[in-house]
Parts: sequence; C-alpha cells; structure tokens
Amino acid sequence: MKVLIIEDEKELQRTIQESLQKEMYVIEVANTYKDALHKISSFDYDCILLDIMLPDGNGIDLLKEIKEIERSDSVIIVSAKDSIDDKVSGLELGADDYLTKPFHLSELHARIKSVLRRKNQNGNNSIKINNLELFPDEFTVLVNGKEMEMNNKEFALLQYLVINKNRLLTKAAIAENIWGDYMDEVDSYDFVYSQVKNLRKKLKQYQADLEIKSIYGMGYKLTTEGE
Amino acid sequence: MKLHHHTQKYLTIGILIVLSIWVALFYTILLDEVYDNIDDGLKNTKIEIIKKAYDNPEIRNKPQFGLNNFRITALPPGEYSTKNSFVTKMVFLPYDDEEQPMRILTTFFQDSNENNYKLEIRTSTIEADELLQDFGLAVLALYFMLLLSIFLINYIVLRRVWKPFHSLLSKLKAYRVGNDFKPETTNKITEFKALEDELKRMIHNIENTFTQQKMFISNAAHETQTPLAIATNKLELLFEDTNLTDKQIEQLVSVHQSLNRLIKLNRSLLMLSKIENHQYTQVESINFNDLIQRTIEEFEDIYEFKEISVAVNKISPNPLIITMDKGLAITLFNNLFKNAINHNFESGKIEIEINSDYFLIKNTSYSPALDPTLIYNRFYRSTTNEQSTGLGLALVQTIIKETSGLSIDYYYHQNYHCFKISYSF
Repeated sequence: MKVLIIEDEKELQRTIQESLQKEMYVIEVANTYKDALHKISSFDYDCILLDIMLPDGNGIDLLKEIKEIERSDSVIIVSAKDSIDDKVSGLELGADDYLTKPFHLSELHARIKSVLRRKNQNGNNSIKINNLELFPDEFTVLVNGKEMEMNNKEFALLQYLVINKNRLLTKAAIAENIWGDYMDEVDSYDFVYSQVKNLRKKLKQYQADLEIKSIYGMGYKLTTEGE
Repeated sequence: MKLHHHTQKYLTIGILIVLSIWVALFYTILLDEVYDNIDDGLKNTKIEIIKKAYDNPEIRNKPQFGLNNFRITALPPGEYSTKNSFVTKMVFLPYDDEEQPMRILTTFFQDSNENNYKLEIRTSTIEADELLQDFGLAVLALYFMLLLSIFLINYIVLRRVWKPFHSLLSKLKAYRVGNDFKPETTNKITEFKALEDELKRMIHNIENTFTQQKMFISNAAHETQTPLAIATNKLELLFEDTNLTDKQIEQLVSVHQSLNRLIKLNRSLLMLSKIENHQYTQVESINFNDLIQRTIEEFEDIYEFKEISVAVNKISPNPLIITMDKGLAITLFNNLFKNAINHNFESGKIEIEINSDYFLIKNTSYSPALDPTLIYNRFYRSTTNEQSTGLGLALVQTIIKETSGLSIDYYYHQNYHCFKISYSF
C-alpha cells in the first residue's frame, strides 16, 4: 500500500509518517504544491493525505488536478480549517474523506483503512483477527462462525479497536470516534470505561480470542491473546 | 422632541413677543393720530363757530346740542382761559336711543360786546373706534397668518434641508459592525458633508479594527491547530513505545489530557468567532421537536450511564419551527443538553418542555442558583470542573444573538436550573 502525505508542516508530516510506517505502508511525502503535483502525476498511490493550505498553492486545486488526470487514488483531506464550505467542496470534488486538524492518529488510521477498504471492493471485505471476523459493511461480527449480538455503539467500538489492533487508543480518541464531539466533558472517561467493560464481557461470553488491555488509565489496546 | 418642534416653539414665542410690542406701539401711534385728526376737525369747527358767533347773536343762542353738535352757554363776567380742552366720554343720544363715544372740545370766547361764553363742540368718534377695532382684528389675523406661514415654511424648509441628515441617520441606524456603510455622496450642505465624511472615517477605522481583531482570533485559533496536532500526535506515538515507566506514562497522560482540553477550547473559540463573523448562513426551517428527539437519542448512552432520567413534554400539537442555520441549531441544543447532563448529579433529572414558540430545559444540579448576568460570560465557571471549557453557554448566547427572533432566559425554580429559549416570529 502506497500512501502519499502532502503536508507542509514537517513535524506533523514526520509524525504521521512514523505512525503509518508501523502499519507497513510505503510512505512518500511532499511538502509543497509543486512537489506534490510532480509526485501525483508521476506515480500511483493508494491513498493521498492532502493538506489544504500549502505554502505555494491550494490543496483544493491539487485535488482538481488529481481528478483531472483520472487517477483512482483515494484522497483524504486533512485541514486545519474546520469549514463546512471546504468540506462540502472537497467532497464534491471527489475527496473520499475529510479530517480536521488536530486529530488522533488512531482516527487517521481508521479513516485510511476505511477508504482503502471501500476502494478494494472486490472479494472478501472482512477483517479477521484470530477467531473473530468483522464485516464493516454488514455491521456483523462472527466469532467462530457464530454471530455476536451487539448494538451499534458496541459494534463501532469493536470496529475501532479492531482497525487499530495492537495500537493504543486513548479514551479521548475512543469517545470522539464513537460519540462525536459531545464527549468533551469530565464523565466521558468513566463512560468509555464502562462501555469497554461491557464489550469485554461480551467478547468473553462468545469466547473470542481477543483481549482489550487497559493501559494505565490512558486508554485501551486490542491484543490477540497469547502475544 | 423633534428639531422642527423645537424651532417652532422658539419661533412662536419670539414672534409673539416681537409682534405684541410692535402692535402695541403701532396701535398707540395710530390711536394718537386718529384722535389728533378728530381734534383738528373740532378746532376748525371752533374757529368757524367763533367767527360767526362773534357778531351774530342768533348763533350764540344755542343752549342745547342740536343737529350742529355744539352748544354755547353764556357765562358771568370774569377771566376765562381760551385754551382748548378735549375730553372723550359716553353720551346718551336720544335719537339713537343709546350711548355713543363722543369727543368734546370745550373752550371759552368773547363776543363783540365782550361777554363771555363757553363753547362746547362734540363729534362722534364711533367711526374712528370702529376703524381701530378693525385694525386690531387685522393685526390679530396678521399675527396668526404670520405664525401659520412661518410654521409651514419652517416645516417644509427643515424637511428639505435636513433630508440628507435623515437619510444619513437611517443608514447609521441600519449599520452593524462588519456590514457595509455607504452613504450617498450627493450632500451639498457643508455641515452635513463634514458630518458624513467624519462618520465614514470613523466607521472605516472601526471596521479596520474589527476586521483585524476578527482575523487575529480566527488566525490564532487556526494556527494553533497545527502545533496542537503535532504535539498530541507525537504523544500518541510515544504511548506506543513500550519502554516507558509507569510514572512517565502517568505524566504523559496528564499532558495529553491537557492538550486535548486545549484543542476543545480552541475549537469552541474558533466556532464563537465564526458565528460572530456571520459565517453560518445556511438558514432553513428547523423542526426543533425532531432535533431535540434526535439529540436525546444520540446522548442516550451518556445520560443513561449517569442514570439521569430525561422527560420530554410536548405542550402544543404544533412543532416548534425556527428559521436558522442548521449547524447552529444543533450546536445550540447540544450545548444546552450537554450542560444539563454535565452539571447534573447521578440519578438526577432533566425535563424538557416544547411549545410552539419556546423550549425549556430544566435540570437538577448540586450547584445553587446561578447569577444570570455572569453565566454567559466566556470562561465563567460556577464549579471548579476542570474539564469544562466554560464556553458552552457563551456559545449558546452568541447563537441566540446571531439568530433573529431568539431570546434566552435563565431562572432557578424549585431546585431546577431552567433555560428557556423563546422564539418570536
């Protein structure tokens, strides 16, 4: 999987790069509009992370360029501008997703995976970890071939953990991913804890070969047992 | 009091005084002149009579006023002044059967035999009086005519002359910071032109300052997003490092939480400045009954976790429809509802009442009644809730201000904190 990061802020770019490399992606970077344009027209990427505000040009123009040369690259706009207009025009121009800075790295991983999954619609789209199989499009989870009963929120939580397996998810990132921006208040962390507890109970009940580990009150990590 | 009423008032009083003095003077002079005229006539008649009576005893024999209107009375010998004396008095005239004002001249003379006589000549002044009366009426009429015409002229002139001023004023009334102010530049009156120029200059300065401040706030909030993203993401990378000690992790967690709080704060500030910059303009009819229902469902996990009971009471069969930006409508209710959850205690209560022109959200809380003059202030906190940004209600109030027809009212009633949002069409 080849990912191009177009981001003028070098530190941020390096952080994203480092995090994505752990997922075994092949990463290329571009810091300027010119550089990005050159790379886009010369190579194919599976996913492009596009910053809208570049020192020598606008990311939206770059997006138009990508669509003009009819590349099938998926594009995720990453912008500090939380403007609805940008979001709408970006998505209308063919961007696959829109992420507002600052974001959690786990959220970025989830978005990239979801975009790539949508792109490779051929064949099996499920995510398999040990004896658990998650079907994102059907909203179903099978454990040992048996369907797990769960509500929407539990499914979303499990999916977020599965996509980010072996990666620490902070409680804030979980809360934001599943309950949106409302969860900015004090109770949210206890609340996430109680939701995770429920999910753990369910996984145990269905004898899933997974474990949600608590990491120092900081967050959770999904690990395959025995590791 | 309007300007033309003011001028009218002073003009009325001023003209009344000037005209009164003038009328009094003129009337006195005229009166004097009229009587002078009559007296001259009487003196003439006197000379005629004395001349004829000097050697004509028949004429001297006129003891009563007759048709000739004079009377001669014989007097005993002695010294008599030949000076004329005039007097005006009311005299009863038998043939008119009424009293009439008469001017009477009294003088003394001697005939050819040096006998003394008193001569009295009278003449009616009724015509002169009528004249003076007419004159008085004319002056009064003139006074009122003058006033009326002055009023009219004053009114018309003032209206014309002040027209550019009023148009400027109405433009100024309609002006709001951030909007355009473009008065007509066809002002010919120097003073108004100067006023207009000064206003333009002032507003230009205000606009500049306002724009700069606006830019500053939104730029500052924007620009901080990237470093914040870098900082949190670096921390998240660090968490994946397994070589950290518990103590280090604990400290990093606290840094991460603070950063998250800063991010939330920054977002709220950005949103506040965007609302104030009128950047939310997707106005449509929002059905608040649906919106409230949806929001409550979205928050279900959260309030149920706190074991808070939520009750909705729809008073009117008609839904509450408010014309406003959809994003703002959602933010408005979310913030109020979030507020009601966050400041509630375990197993507390939230009651929502919806009518066709308002909605009311009531919640129980540990905190006592709040000061309604302070709660909407940015960063106001009633408690030392560390995670609260202190911007929620400020956001609510800014949305209310930005949406026409909305108003908010806070009160504390029977242990419930109540926020009432009213809508007038």
